[in-house]
Amino acid sequence: MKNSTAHAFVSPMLVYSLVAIGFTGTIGLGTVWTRQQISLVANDNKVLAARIADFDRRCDETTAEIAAAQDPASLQVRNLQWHLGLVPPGDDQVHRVAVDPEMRLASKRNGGLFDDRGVAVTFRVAAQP
Amino acid sequence: MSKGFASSYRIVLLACLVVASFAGLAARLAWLQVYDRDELLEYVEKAHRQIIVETARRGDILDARGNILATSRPLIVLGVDPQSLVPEDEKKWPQLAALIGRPLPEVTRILTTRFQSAAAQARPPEGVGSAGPAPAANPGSLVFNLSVPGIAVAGGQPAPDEAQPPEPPAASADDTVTDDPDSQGNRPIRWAKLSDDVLESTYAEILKLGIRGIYGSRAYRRAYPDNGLASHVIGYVNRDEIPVTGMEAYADFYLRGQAGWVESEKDGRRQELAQFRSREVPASDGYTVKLSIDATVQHIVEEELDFLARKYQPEKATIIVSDPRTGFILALGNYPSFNLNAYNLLPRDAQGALRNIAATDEYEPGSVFKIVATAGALNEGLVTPSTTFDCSLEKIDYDGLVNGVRKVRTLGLPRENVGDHFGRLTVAQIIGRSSNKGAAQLGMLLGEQRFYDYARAFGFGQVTNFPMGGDKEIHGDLAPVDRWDGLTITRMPMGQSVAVTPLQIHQAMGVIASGGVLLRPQVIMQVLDPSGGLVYSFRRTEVRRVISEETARTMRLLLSRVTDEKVGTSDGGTGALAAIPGFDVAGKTGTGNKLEPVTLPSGKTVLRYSDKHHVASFVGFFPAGDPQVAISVIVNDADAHAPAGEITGGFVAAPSFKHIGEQLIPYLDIRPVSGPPLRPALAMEGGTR
Repeated sequence: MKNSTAHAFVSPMLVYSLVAIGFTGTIGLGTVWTRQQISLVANDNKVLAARIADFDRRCDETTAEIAAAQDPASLQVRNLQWHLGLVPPGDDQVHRVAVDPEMRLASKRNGGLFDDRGVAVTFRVAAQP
Repeated sequence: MSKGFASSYRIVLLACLVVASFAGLAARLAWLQVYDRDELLEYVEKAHRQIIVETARRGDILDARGNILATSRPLIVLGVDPQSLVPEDEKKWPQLAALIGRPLPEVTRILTTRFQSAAAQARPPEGVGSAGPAPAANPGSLVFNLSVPGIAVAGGQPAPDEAQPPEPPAASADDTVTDDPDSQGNRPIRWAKLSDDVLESTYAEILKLGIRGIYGSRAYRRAYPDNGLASHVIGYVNRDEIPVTGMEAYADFYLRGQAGWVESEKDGRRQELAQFRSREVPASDGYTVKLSIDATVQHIVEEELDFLARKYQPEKATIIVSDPRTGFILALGNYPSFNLNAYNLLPRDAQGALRNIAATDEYEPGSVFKIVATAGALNEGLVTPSTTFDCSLEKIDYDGLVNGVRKVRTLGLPRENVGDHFGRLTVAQIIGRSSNKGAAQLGMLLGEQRFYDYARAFGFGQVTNFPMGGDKEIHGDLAPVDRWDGLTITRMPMGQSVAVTPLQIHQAMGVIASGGVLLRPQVIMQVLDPSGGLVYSFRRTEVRRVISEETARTMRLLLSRVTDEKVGTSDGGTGALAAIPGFDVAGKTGTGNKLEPVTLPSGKTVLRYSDKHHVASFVGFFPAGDPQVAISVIVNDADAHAPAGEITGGFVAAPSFKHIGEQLIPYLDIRPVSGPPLRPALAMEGGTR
């Protein structure tokens, strides 16, 4: 078989072309794959952000419901409905402590430990002869 | 040279195949770019860039103890794209109607109305999606399509679940959003509101139904957990998220936050392509505003207002409670009032309930105003508590100004209140027994200009700059001296010929309670960022010193006599019903005759003081020796349902002062002032007892 210069040119050219196609194809596929991953991550982030926002919103909703349940008028209604009989304290029920409360509680607690009343002490005195 | 791995024929064939492949690709590109161009461009247009606006959450309003007074509650604005509905879903419509709480025929009508006729476009949309009295203009996050001028598409953030529904195609200030009209002028409806207050949990159930074309967008709706509590202080935000009154309007700068936005792209199903987000500015939620209002104190006040309303059915009433040491308002209530969550249900003739009458309505204060002449005369050293005046005189010679000219003239002194006849009274007795003639003589002793200057210094005739009055806060009516007639100097010291707001009179009494300083009434304590960090803290703000500390102390002694002894006794104070056992209470009663139009025989209509309509008030504070709380009770026109002879401030308003005070003592831990009692000191100064 006779070799020609064209053959000598086409053969490596084909090899290089195939290598280049393979290389660019790989880059292309890599790019597509990367973009796909970016898309997935972005969507995951979006979903997560939406979930966080959803939790925040549910917290807000619950907080609003709790606040509504703590409305003084609502509490009064429940007090009546449940027959709790709760009333605000009157001033006659308030005992104001003018002294140090800790000392007062301590003395109240320990008051019985020692007898503070005067105790008669008898000494025997023996007269020396 | 090597022959290679193939013959030249095969190599050429392979090369041709490669070239043919590229040629095929080129042809395909040409096909896409030229032949399918319009179709593909339409698709691309659908996936055009967009800006998603994320609505900021409006900040909360808290009371002094951290209880929520106003908050932003998340809700779903539910809508439908009638063009996207499929017949297979019709069997689910009853469930949908039940979930959103609307009658099935109404829901069916909205779902089946697919076009807005040209005639219907000319009038406001009715029927289709008319879920509420006014639509929400700001349903969660808006989506602006950059390919269409203006707001073209709106919707909420996609649901967090995996099967995200397409974003709602539209939301506007209306209940429907339509596409371009067809050849007959009918516009296809692309979004019609089904409900604007769907809870998150309900929305989850609606999504489970899987009805195609049903979309929800998330929105915040202002909610007031305590309903009508402190309604005039808090104010409200209307359905368009515009703050209208009260703190909502005043502190809107702090509360409203700043919307964020995301520049992104969407696909043909209007779903955002998150990977193409190019710019993202997160929303900044609004700041939290913490008030000095205490919900419990406010509740006590409003219960008392309810009691007054039931007992006397007055035209209106106001109660203000504050800390006189700082000027911070603890509670402010008005009658009539309204429910913040149902402000739009007020009938037209009851719209007056929206007004914060504590700052927007004026009245003649009556005897409470006597504190001005008394404090002024004491502060100028013109009198002492033991100085006496003849309070039996009918006329008195006065060297004063008339139309700017000083001359001596004889003036008639005002009458005393019904049933009162006094002889010589000390200054202490003039205050304690509320002598009109005595107050007039104190005013004359001061002279017109000095009396006017003291009245101004006490804050009358000028706005208090109280935030809740808004633009409608009035400055009352305190005429300058050159506009006084000959009798004004005898009438103004007893609280006639002058008009004040409840807040002004409360602020003036605060001068005496605070030791002689006029404090700005304040209601905002702190501004907090969304994470609870302190942004700004408000402090006691002094406007000016009005009287000396010594004079203020003397005034407190004198005013504590008002609640002394029993009403009706010869030496008793007029406000004895305000007395709280164990505490020295200082205050002043007031009973102002209201002006009413009277038609004269000549046909001319003039304003005359009425004997049948009064404003009864008691303004005071306790403990007198160390004031910790100031309370003003003002009841306008309780005459019709008050027992005969008991229309005065001492009978109508003073008991409310006592009732509120007694409840505040344990709650605020107010203790009696230890040390020497006030009254012996007063007796040593020459009191009659």
